[in-house]
Amino acid sequence: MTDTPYEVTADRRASHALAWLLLVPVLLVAYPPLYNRSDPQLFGVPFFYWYQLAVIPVSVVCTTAVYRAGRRRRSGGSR
Amino acid sequence: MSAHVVEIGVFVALFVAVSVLGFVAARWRRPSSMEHLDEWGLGGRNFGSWITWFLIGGDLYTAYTFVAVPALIFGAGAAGFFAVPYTIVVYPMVFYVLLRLWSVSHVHGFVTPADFVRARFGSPSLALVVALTGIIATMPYIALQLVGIEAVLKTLGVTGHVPIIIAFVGPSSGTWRRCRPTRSCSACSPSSDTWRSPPVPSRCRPVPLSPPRTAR
Repeated sequence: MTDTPYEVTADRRASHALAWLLLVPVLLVAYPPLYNRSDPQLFGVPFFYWYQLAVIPVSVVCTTAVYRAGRRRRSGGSR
Repeated sequence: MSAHVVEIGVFVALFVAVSVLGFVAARWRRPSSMEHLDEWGLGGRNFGSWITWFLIGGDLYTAYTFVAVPALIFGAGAAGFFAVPYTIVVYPMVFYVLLRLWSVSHVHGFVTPADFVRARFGSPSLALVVALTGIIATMPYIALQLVGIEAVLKTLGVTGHVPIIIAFVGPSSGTWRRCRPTRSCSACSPSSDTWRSPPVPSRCRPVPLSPPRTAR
């Protein structure tokens, strides 16, 4: 059962490329000077706070995309 | 003191509800035997996505989330907001690294990271170091929960160490009851011959990033 051949199919390569999406939320918050500002405010909330909270949905979208790509590959019978 | 009646009532109601839930869960899927470490440590590898979702939630949203971080933001301001980007950064790492760790561990029947390290690097001493690091690193985390609940109790007007001891011994006894089969619990005595050591493969092959189709 550990002898599954490790083939790199086009499908797998595509989903590996999609895995780079995981870097997007990391890069968005990795450098604080990027968002260490109080303007523009949103409903009176300084930019610093709402920007970081806004990255959370972005992170969810990226993670979901990568997960779905992996699941498609798994059930696609390419393995 | 009378001002705290509502708070104490809410606390006690929630505490009783969670304790009951714990004891019910202990009977919910009673394993045929507690002879395997998988059963004791991983619930027999039978937790699906739904239960795991709650377990991860329970791991993340602790006294740290509800007491320590709000207190830090209250006291220090924006610096306490580190908790948000920190989680954003950690999730992709978890997604990429742990999925792979999981699929390899699933195929080879590993229970702890130490099992993985022993098999991957073929070094029992490295595995021991990893196991000890895991135990020691867990200590402050558990201590944080104790400090957190102590802060909650202090707000309720309850001081001293006895309430904390009760708060932890109560729910913990739920897990202890599970680990009491008719014969001596082999999970607690690894020298027993029924203790099953995970099979150690000669060398871990590359395993697909995603869980194998046999999962669940």
